Amino acid sequence: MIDTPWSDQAKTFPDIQAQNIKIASDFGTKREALQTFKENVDTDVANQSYFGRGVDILKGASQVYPEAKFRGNFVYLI
Amino acid sequence: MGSNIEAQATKIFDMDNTTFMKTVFPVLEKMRKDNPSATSDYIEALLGQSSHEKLLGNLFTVFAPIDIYAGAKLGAKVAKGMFTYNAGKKAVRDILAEAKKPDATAADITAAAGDLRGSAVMDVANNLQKSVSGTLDVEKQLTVHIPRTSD
Repeated sequence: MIDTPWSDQAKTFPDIQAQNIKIASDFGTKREALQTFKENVDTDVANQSYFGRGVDILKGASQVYPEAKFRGNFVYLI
Repeated sequence: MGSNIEAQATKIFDMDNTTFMKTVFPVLEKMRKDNPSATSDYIEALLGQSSHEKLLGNLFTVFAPIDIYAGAKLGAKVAKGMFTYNAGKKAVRDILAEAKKPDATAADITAAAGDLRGSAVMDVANNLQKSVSGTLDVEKQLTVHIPRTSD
């Protein structure tokens, strides 16, 4: 087998490599979970009444509403 | 607001999976009930950030692949050095053990070197065979042919 940085790492730092794989895997899981949730939300949007959807779109058109909704859900100070 | 979304994405993608599930989805679920369109836009923004170079850079700084690669190379070098040192020591020990036998031939001595074969070992073996007859300075020959890494 040809030595690559990856195989070098597997030999020299197996624990760190396992940790790397886990972090990368967790990252993928989070993205996947968010994507699935978004698809479900998009289905909700598609099933909304024209009036309800219109109201939501109008809310989103203002500057204040998205700021209030999006900002500070997980980080407050920026 | 862009930098706030960026900071939020950095924070949530830096969480472990359990914390992520417990923290993120209740917030999204609440937002979804209130305004699904805005929730979809918000998730879109978070997902967009997740592929940004900066976020990936921050996330993967945790295990700094370049540093680890450098470390691995250094580690491999040290490990190789240790292997060479130990294999060399073992070969010498085995060679000497074989050479002590009164009827040892050069081939026997070389075979005793195991995997550490090569012209240097052959040379040492040949010289060691001579040493059996008491005409060779064994220690000097070993110093010449097998580098002393313990000094």
